[in-house]
Amino acid sequence: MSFTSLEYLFYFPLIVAVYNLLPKNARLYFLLAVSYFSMAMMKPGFLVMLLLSSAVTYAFAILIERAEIERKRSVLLYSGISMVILPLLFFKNINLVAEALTATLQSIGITSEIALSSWVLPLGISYYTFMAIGYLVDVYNEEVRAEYNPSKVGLFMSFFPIVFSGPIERSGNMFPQFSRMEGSKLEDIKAGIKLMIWGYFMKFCVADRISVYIDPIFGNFQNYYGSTFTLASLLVPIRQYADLGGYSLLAIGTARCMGFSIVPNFGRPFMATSLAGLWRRWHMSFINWLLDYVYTPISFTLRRKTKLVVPISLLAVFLLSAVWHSMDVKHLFWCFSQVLILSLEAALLTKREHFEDKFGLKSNRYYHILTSIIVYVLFAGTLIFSSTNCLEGSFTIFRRIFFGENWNVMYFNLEATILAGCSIVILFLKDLFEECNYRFPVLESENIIIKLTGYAILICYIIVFGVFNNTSFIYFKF
Amino acid sequence: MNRIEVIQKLTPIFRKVFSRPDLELSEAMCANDVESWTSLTHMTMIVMVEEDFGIEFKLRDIKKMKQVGDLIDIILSKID
Repeated sequence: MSFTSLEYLFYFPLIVAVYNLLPKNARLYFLLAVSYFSMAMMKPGFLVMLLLSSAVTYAFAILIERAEIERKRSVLLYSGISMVILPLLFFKNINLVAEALTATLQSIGITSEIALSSWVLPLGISYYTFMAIGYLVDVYNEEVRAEYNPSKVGLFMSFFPIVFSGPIERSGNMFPQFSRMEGSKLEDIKAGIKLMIWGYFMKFCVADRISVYIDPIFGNFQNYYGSTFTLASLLVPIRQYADLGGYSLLAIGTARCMGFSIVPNFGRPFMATSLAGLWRRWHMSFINWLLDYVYTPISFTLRRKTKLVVPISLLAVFLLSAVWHSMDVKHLFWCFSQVLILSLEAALLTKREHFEDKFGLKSNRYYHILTSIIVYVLFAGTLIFSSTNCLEGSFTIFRRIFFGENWNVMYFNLEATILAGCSIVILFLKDLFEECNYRFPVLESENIIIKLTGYAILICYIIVFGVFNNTSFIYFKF
Repeated sequence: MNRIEVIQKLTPIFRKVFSRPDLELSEAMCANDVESWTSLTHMTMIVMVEEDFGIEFKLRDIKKMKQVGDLIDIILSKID
């Protein structure tokens, strides 16, 4: 049941209504049933995987907490993590396994295709695996207590608004909310619906509208020239932001309508004035997860051993991120380009601060705009590696942007440009107003009639100008 | 050593690591309050605190440091 399906718009109010009508002690089981049903609807096998992972997580958290000897606790932690991560590694690399097996069989004279590629990556497996690992590590570090109610652990791992594509939640935020379950207040429903309207706007009017233009370009890179690639490459970060950011708002908004508070996933990333700053605002639940469970342990272990703590720790984080996105060479190039820029930024941070202080640039708005644009262009440049279907394509794009001929030949669609342009401007203004703590005109008006009219117009805008032929989200495949 | 003395000893470390010569430490201060206090500079600060106070943190301690007050609690527990 995808957020963008028509069935969801029918079932969602029903779920919220039943959740609120039920007695408090039945709500946990109702949400658990809805979450398991949503997963089973995708494929019953996906639910089996989720149940197994939940059972392992439940048992190991309790075992870790009960173990008194430190060494035993460590062994249990690593055993638990290995058991929950194994299915993810297996399904992520199933095609590599199939290719290796086929090659091995061919080398001994047997020519047969191993048809493992028909095994689909279970939906949501990355997200509940990350959440399970976080929970086990937090119990080990005594940041949270192990949960003895299996239904709460089950719901934590399967909560339907977030299980398919995040945000990646923490047990410390979710378990107390599962214990309260007071139901939704009117304020929650209003705030949730507002978030969902913006989520639909970002998905249908920005992400999918841009995809109509850029997908054919990156899919057939031989047919286009430098100017087209420049425009398409500059649109990729906005598309990614609007797609995952839109999904996140739908997830957070859905949960909010039932009174749950979910961590934000994006914090106006393109207002950042450094690449490190952009990453602190981009896919925040995933980045914070990597920071807490990968970057910090590695940098802490290496802190006295090498001066290259930052580059090595960053490399580990981005390598993991690249492998998670796709185990291929172009994502490794994406990873190295990010690490290179971030390491340079870290090395030059003090010099930059002195420079900004000397010329009074920190409060200069033109300097902010200029640095934000530079960061955006750098970010867009690195994303070229992950946008094409092969490394050769990425290099062709770079070559044609910087050294290519026929720069005057541009693939351009006036109607698509106007529609995408208007939506991008609205999204940019929304972020800008939030960044400056200003009220968004009309939509944040104190006059309820003006406000309702504004949201009605926004809904009409989505219906009239949205693109509805692509209902899947990019991050579903991870 | 009391909390005020710990803050006095921490202040030059924070000023140097985060390049803020006029930084005034408070117990409620956290990474969001200092622009250059990032995950990248955090570990430099940790190493300098360990060296200056002659103590060694555990990873578990690092996770508990949400604000300067938490850092002071952990330092005092290690000195005592």
